[in-house]
Amino acid sequence: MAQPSTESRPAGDLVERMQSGDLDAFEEFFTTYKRQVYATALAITRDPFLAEEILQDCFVKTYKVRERLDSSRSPLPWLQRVAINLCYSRVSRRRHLAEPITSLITNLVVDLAARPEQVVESREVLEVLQRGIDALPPKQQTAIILYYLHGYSLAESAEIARCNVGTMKSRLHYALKALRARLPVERQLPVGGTPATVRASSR
Amino acid sequence: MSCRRICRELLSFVRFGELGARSQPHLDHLAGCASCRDEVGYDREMVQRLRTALAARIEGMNLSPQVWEQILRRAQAPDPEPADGWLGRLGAAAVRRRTTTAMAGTALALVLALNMEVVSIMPAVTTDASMEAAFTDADASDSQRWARPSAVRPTPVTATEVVGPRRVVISPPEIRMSGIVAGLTPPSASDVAPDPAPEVLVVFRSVEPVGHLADDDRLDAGSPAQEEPDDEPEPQPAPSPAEPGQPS
Repeated sequence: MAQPSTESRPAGDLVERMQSGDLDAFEEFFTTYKRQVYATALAITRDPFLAEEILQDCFVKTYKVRERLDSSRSPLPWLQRVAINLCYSRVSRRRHLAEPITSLITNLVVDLAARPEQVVESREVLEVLQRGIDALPPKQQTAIILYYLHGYSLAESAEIARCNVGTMKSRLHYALKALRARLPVERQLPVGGTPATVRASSR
Repeated sequence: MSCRRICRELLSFVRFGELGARSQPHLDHLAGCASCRDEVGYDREMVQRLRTALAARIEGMNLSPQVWEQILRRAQAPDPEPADGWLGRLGAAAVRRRTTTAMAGTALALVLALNMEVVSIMPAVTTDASMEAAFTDADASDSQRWARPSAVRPTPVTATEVVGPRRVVISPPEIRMSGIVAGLTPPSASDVAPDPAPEVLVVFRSVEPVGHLADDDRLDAGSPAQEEPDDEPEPQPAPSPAEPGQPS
């Protein structure tokens, strides 16, 4: 993934050309950033159609406010922030409906986890993680998507999320802790390790 | 430092790629502590799986080919007008209503909290004997009136009598207001003439509150002559000749 701070000069040129009304520059701008914005939207929503709508909204908004873009800085943090905000404004509306079903499925999966012979372990852990990611608060979800999916540094992630680095570390820490708590106890075994409950009591 | 604390700090170093000279004591501890090794190993394993789960979310992402055309079309479209029409008016009315409700609530709370007495702030105007008499005839209680009856007398310039069966015809709002202040019951919609002439006015004969009027007094849409008496028997249908094959 492209890093927000490394490509600011070409991005600045693009922004200046966009501001002068150059539609080719806008297309180039779109081509440069579409994958990163779409990946963020898709990772949050898990819905390709909704993610594409959000991508459209994001770039339409960019074009409408192009006069206000700062050409001396990379537009990527701003773009990601707009995309993230659009995602959560739409996902929150749908979650009210989806929540009971989600909790039902979660309970079902916990029951299945008690019978490990019926499921493939790695697949199940991934499913549990996916649901765990969905259940995270938006700020923690954003943090793990920026840091672990896009591979942004802590500073870059913090810039996009508009917080300081310490806050970003804290969000990541609590996100991992929450994800870990969702894993069934028998899945909390590292390869060749001791059970987590035993380790905790032995210390 | 306890093992637990070392492990926690070590996890932070590993997660955020901050292993260095500062973390040397932690690494030394790690070399001799199987529990911490398990913990760090498990954390790395979980982060690895988390990366896999996140990558699976965007697996095979493909934008539709027409997305650029759609963006371009939307970007070049003129901005929509600000909300107007019924939706805008409804929103503005809702805001006004909420503001009014909030102000009224605050005022009521103040009144209750300070145990204040609410008094009328209407100006004291000399009463007119004929008006007083008219209001004395009316048996409406004070609670059924909007104001005390002896407040204001409408000027003769703005009020004349209209011939008609106890009909109240109301002229523009300023005259209506003078009638209300004088103690007249506010007119209902049925009392308002559809197309009042500029000089049309208020009849002071009808001083009773609307609630005291019978329905036929309030409504003058149809003349009494057109109404049929209730006790008149319905006309019987003329007997039809018995159809063939049917008993008569």
